[in-house]
Amino acid sequence: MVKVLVADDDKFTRYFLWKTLSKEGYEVKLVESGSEAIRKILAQNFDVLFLDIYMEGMDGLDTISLIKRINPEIPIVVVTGDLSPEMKDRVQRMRVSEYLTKPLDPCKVKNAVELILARNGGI
Amino acid sequence: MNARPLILLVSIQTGDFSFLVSSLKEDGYALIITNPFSKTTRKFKKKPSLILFDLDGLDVRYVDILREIRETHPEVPVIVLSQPKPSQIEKALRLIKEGVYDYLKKPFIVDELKILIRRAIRKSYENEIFPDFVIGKNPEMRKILTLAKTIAPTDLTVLIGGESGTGKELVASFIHKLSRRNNKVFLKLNCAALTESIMESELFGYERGAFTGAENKKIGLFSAAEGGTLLLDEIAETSLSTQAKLLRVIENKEFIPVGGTAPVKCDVRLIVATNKNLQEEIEKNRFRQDLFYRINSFTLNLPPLRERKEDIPLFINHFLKKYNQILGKKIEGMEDEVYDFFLSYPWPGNIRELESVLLKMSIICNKPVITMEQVREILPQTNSSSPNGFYTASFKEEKDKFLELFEEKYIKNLLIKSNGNILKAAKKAKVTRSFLYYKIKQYGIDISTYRN
Repeated sequence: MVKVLVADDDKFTRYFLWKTLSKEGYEVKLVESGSEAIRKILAQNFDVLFLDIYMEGMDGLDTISLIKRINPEIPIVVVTGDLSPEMKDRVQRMRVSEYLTKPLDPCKVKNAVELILARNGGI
Repeated sequence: MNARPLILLVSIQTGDFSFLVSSLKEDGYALIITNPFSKTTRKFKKKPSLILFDLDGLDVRYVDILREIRETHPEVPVIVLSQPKPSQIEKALRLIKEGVYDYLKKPFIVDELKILIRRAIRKSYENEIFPDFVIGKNPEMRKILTLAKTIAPTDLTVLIGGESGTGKELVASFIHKLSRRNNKVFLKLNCAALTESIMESELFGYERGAFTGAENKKIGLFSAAEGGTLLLDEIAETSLSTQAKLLRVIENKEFIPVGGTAPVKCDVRLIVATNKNLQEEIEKNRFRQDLFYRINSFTLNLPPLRERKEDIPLFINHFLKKYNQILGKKIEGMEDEVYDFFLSYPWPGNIRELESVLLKMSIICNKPVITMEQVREILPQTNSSSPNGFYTASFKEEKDKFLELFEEKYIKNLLIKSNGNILKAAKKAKVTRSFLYYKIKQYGIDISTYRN
């Protein structure tokens, strides 16, 4: 079963992603901060990580650089309300797989995961 | 939970923290600032709810310093504060692996820190109430604890079922701690131990002169538990008349003390527990149906330990650790044979029995590893298949013998309960009729002696 981890401090985004991804038959785990995402990834394997950029405590950018040290292979889908091209540029230089802006579109969410799975030769 | 949560800020900086102090005070926290190298930091008497650990100014020994600070209370959550530096990612990873809750870059907005503090304290409080070893891996138990968490904040009466030693009292205390009544008392009474009249005096109290010897008025548990939670264990052992009085308390939130005339109002959340099947007790006219419907709105049936074997290793670790600490021992684990035995043993006394066995073993064990020999000393049942007290055959043969003894005992018990009715017995044991017939024949049991 494909395992997805969602890290977002916004309850509604977490719920939205959980609903959208569970419907696709993925196993979805939810956390509300970057540090919790790191703890989860240290403890078990995930196939995809959905990550918010602005969170309390460790932000998304620091979380990405940390996760790249723990498990550089894990595909990351960045989810952010920041529409500025600067942020997009900064994030993409960190070699993340996908970049989605809020409000989220369920089709784009599903496509992002399918694309990642296809690139990895399916799981 | 009553006092203001204490936050310890450990910092070598001499900067002005007065804004932080007043801002946290506004939110009901007490902040104490200490230097990591002062003795008071290492030996703080009152347990803080949270530690803020300022990384700035500390050299490479920051992990050792943190470890020392956490030594007395390793479960207290820590939030690290630091100036953004190129090396911070490495440090953050090390600290998170050390068990730090979160990492906040300076300068930060106090509101952001407050959110983190609230979240960290809430999480650690939940962990304290539901430690990992209680939750375990068993899906049934996890479902039950989730339901317990959901119904805890309500005032509904909860019925907790399960064999003795499965943790009914523990679950009841979780419900209390997670409810809005958690700052009031949690009282419990075992109904099996008391006669009807003593039980009613205990529950409802009595007026002066209610009976010979009642020289002073005494308040009962329903008054003592006002605003809090009362657990009545072994509720099936109460008399029908006491049950009627309990029904009145649940329905009208009032009771009449023994020897009194006027009803007394009470606000108590009731949790009842039993190891009996109340439906069967109703059929035998030993339990009131109306009371059953009242207490049965939510039933948590705790599985026996033999049905959650996946959690046995977790319990072993937990109890060994606990008794190592209490007894000052250094037991690291057990022989594989002991492990196998623990997993195959039926644990009729459930977790309570497992804990008591591990306590006894921790006391007599003076090696780093618990051996099968010690288990035999403590658990006489392990010897029941070998008359001289020692096993002579292979593990498998001894295990089979042991299982046979268990099967025979189980089936005989089953037949007594079902009056020798095979169909009923098979249903109860959740086995097929033919399997039961086969076993009865195997052990040469005479069914007619069970029919009356």
